[in-house]
Amino acid sequence: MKKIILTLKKEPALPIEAETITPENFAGRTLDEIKKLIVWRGKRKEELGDYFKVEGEKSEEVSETHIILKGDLSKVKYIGKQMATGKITVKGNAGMHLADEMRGGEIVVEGNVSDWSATEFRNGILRIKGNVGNMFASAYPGNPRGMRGGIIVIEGKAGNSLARKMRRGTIIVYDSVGDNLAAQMIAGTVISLGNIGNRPGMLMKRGTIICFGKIQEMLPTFIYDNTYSPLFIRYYFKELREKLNIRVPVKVEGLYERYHGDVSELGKGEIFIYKG
Amino acid sequence: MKMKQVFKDVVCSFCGCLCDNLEIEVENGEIRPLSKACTVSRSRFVNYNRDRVPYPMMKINGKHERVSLEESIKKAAEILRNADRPLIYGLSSTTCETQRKCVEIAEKTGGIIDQTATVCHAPTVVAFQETGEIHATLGEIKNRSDLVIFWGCNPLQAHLNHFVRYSVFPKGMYTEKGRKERYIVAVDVRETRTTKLADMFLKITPGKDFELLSVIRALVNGAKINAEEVAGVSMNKIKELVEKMKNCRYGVIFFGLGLTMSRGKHYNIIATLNLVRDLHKYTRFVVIPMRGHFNVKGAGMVLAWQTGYPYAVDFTRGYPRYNPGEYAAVNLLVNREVDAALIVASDPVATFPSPAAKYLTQIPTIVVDPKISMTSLTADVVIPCALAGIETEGTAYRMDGVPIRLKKLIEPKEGVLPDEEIMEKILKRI
Repeated sequence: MKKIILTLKKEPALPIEAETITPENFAGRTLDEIKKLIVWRGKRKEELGDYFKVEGEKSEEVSETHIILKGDLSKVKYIGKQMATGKITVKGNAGMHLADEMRGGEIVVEGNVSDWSATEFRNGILRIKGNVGNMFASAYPGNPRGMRGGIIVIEGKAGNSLARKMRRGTIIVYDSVGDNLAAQMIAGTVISLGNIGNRPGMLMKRGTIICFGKIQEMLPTFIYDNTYSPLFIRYYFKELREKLNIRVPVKVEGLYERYHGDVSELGKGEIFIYKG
Repeated sequence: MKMKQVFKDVVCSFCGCLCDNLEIEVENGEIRPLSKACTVSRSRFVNYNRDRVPYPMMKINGKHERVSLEESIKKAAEILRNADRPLIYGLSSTTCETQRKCVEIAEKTGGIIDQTATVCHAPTVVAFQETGEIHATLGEIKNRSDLVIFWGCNPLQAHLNHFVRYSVFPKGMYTEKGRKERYIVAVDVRETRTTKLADMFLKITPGKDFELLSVIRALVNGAKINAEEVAGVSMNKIKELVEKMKNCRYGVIFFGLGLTMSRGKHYNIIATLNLVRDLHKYTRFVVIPMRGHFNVKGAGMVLAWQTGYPYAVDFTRGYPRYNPGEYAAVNLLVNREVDAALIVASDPVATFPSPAAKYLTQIPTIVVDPKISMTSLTADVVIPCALAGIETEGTAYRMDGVPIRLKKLIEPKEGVLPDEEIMEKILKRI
């Protein structure tokens, strides 16, 4: 892969909107052309070169483009918006709307990610080594569906309203998750190795939540079914390990409590709590 | 104005009830309500001239000094023009005409416009967008309702004439016996005057509204719930309420900040709206939010018809974008994402969380307000304006979405313009 390295010169006072940072925009452009790409600071149009030092080599193929961002980018929004292929690595924190409506490729973030990221995520792989904010992988207000596919691995903690209105795909969180997990979920899978906050699966129609920690508070509209060892969970983790090389550090063999709900909605969602 | 004048059918511009049946006497620049005004409304009319901003002011060397109106408007336009991302906030206590001008300013300056609903009924607005709203006017409630539920609100102390004019006591076309024909339910975390007057009071554990609502909804839909009590209310009592809901002729849920601002926020309202929708398998049911300021509903209406979105609208790209968790005033101020502010008829320094209020005092701020507020004390430019509904006329929306024309009772002080004209002047300068 051809590497293009962007180093943040100084942290902007107002947030900048840089949806131009995608492999699609960088491929086929020389470094000088990349510097001239537009970013928005409030109502003012500015150039990428005003904020970033651009190094590396020109890439012709989109799928061969690897963008490396360095510095604290917590005030840089829309990194990798609608990207479909290629790779982005963020060596630091990332701002709001990272991987917004992402359609493919891979993004790796080594720091934390702000609120409203991976919104309406469609496909691809997103790995985050740090924590993520609120409304992660959710839907924009008024839109009927949130995350629609792909795989997200969060190695830190997740905030509130993770995976709101999720439709398809997988999210794995290594640490704890906040309140209102998978609210209004339509389908899909969320796995949490840590604890889960209040009201997971509120208003969910279908979908699966697997919890290896404790749930702070379950809704009364989730009904206990039984405790058993579901075969599919072992297959699920095997598939992740063998096909996608995602090694989840947890022991999956054992008994799980199964609840179904939310019975005030369709009631076909399920929550599994690992009991050892 | 020397002579005594009596105005009939005056509209009170204080709360979302917008009572339009007041009788007001004006003599020698004093206003006296004669009848039908509640205590709050009476105080608003009698004290209309108290705590007014005396003249246009500008901060010079850290102190407010008197300047001419022209100078203050020039400075205001300059601040807005030079800002990269100005915030226009407030709107709820002024007329629709002014709100329209504010939207124009936001569009022209490439700013972000937000209204006070962001700290009160914003979850309601978000939920309406998600699920839709089954709505009625207050007149319909007066004429038809026989089951009235007050959830997380206390109209006897906040919307004083609500009980008398619309919801509990009035005798209507199909409610000839008035109060006797209505069954009143109150849901709250503590006893209030409203709950004392209710036929059924559900005292719930704070922050458990969503649990109770979803259990009621599950029961309405015929699901079985194993719990013995939910949110501190026994299952028998919940079942009794469900039966009342299913068997009433015309039910209504009024909800207030107890529901919108407790844990769960817009999910609480989504649950309420879904419950009302599901109850239509059995009977007619409607839901009405208890809006606070007299024209906060209008602010949502004006923003929606001008930009397509009800609040938290961003114009930095030249076209409207909407994202409450990002462009709402509190988020913007806490994340330090704006660099100037125009505050119209509201007091964010007093009502916002402290990091947001603190940042607001650090950026150039313009306040257009008839009365002195915490925000006006720290603002860089303060422009006084006429009081809507007393010194200037205009349109306002009642809490149920009915537009009502406000009346002008008295001339404003010389040199004090209605805020609509001030906005127009600022707009021309930008």
